[in-house]
Amino acid sequence: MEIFSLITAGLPTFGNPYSVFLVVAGSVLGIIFGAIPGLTATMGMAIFLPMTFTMSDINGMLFLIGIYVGACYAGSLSSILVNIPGTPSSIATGFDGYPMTQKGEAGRAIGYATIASALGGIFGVFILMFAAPILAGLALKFSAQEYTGVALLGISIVSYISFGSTIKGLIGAIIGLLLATIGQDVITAYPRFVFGSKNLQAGLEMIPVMVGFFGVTEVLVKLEQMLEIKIKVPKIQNVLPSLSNLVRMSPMMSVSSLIGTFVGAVPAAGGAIASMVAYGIQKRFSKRSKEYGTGISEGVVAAEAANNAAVGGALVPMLSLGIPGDPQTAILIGALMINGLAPGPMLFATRPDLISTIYMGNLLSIIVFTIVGLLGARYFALLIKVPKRYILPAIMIFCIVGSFAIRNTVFDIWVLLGCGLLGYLLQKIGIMAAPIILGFVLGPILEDNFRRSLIMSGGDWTTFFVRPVSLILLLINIFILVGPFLFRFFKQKTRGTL
Amino acid sequence: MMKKMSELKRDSWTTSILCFLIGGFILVDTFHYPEVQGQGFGQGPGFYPQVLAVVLIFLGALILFKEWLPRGTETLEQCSDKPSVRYLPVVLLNILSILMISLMKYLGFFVSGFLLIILTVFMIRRPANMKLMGLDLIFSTGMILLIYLVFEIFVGIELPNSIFWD
Repeated sequence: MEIFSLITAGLPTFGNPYSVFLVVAGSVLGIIFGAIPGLTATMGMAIFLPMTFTMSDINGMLFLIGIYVGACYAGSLSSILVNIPGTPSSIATGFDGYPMTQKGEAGRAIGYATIASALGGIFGVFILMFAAPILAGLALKFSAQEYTGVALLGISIVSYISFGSTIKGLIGAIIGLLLATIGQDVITAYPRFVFGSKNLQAGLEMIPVMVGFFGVTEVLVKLEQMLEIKIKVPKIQNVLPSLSNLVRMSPMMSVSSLIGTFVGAVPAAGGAIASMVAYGIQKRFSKRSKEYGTGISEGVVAAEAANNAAVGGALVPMLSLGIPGDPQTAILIGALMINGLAPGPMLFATRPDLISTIYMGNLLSIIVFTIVGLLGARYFALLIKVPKRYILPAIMIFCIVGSFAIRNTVFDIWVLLGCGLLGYLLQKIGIMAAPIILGFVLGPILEDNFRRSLIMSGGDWTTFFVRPVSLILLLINIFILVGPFLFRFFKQKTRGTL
Repeated sequence: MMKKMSELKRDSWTTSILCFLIGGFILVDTFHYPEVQGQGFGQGPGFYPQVLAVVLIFLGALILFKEWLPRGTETLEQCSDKPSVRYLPVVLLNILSILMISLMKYLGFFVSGFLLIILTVFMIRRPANMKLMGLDLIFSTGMILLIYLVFEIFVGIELPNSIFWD
């Protein structure tokens, strides 16, 4: 299908006021989740995913995309105003955003953050529109061996970039892969690790597992550090930035957006790394390099353009390969699967309307947060003051309802609680939730393709090395996992000999 | 610093033991799985979990091996100060949640859910503030009402009823 027809195929959806309402509602919910420190886009999407069960696949995706985009933007509000990042992707925003607030320029910082987020987001969507169909076209030529390599790539990258050590990231991913094996074997239908439970025969449901690891675990972590800090939100005025300044900053906005989209498209990288990389590069090459960190608008623009562009970037591997770019796209994959849709190259041929709706929904969400950001930032900023003693029980009860709703069974609430507790305990020893969930989502893809490759080759393991693309992917995997260790080892050895 | 280093060591040991336990359990459990079911070369349902288990055990061993090596800057960075933690609320919330799920059958979702919310709010707010109790009650009732409106009325999900009343 042509790129242009793919862009326009979903336009009729937006003639339906209910669909438009869902994007707006999702974006506003996303802004609320993003603005409150400690609540993330992932948590918001996981909690509200069950609400999409009764919606059509298109409307469900629009609602979730709204939350994703809205939260990604709103993380900047608390980062700028009180130096507490609302979401991990807005950490770099606070480097200059908070010093601007201290100088009495909170409104100006929010204005720049809003415009940069919007332009970065639009840039990301445009790259998505052109890159995803091309990558999907290439992926159609992929065989099981290449898909095995791509799935392994996602796992390697998430392990490498996850907080703490790479080995622990990898252990987390393998725990996720193992959780995905519970239930009937995909090829032989033999029940694995079910311990006689009928509920486990069909495997663990994606929603309670995701909500457990992302929602309940976070509630438990926040609960143990429960300190109610009295937050004073500064006055917000003069939000609209001047046009001349925006024009002056447009080249750097474009560069940050490009970096953000590229980093976001790397499986498992996400907005936090995108904004850090963009901020670092802009600081390195800027004429005002020494002023970064003291409260200059360029710093806010660099970080915000990148983390919002990363949304479009993260959707590229998700739509074209079925590989999640970050935890949020893992939830979107879950939403597609609930509707019986398999994300990947075939989706472009079978459901162009859905692909187009995702593009357009993303753009509409950007429009919503731009309006809300410029006109209502001062009101949304008050959300930062909502006490945690009300937020945490509310999240907990939403997690419980959401998990129950998928199959109307109390067993899923036990799964939710079990996963939440497991996630909390694993976090205590440095194994984070993101690699576990990405492992869980990638599990069926990896197992299916890995075993099919071996079946097709009659058990010959060299099948992964004789196909060029598969070989390249495996080499990249090895480089990601082993490269940094070897590099450090040789560096230490060289130092020792000198 | 010594205390932090020993914490790191404890984490590594715990992770390794966990890997050995999970990996070992999977190898033992899948040992009895049929080896071949309709396939040509002995790749049964236990094959893939066994591969993962072996990798997990290898990673567990690798973490122990790393403990032997002299520490680089990366591991020292991980020793950064952690905020003080309170485990009691975490344990209490888990107990409350288990109680809520167990009582759901008898009290229904809305009553047990209300109890979970209000008891969690009371647990978090320490010392108890009588003046704000009214606000807590309004919040808890409001949350339950919101869930009823959103999930039962708007989404159409029937949440568990009590066996004693509808």
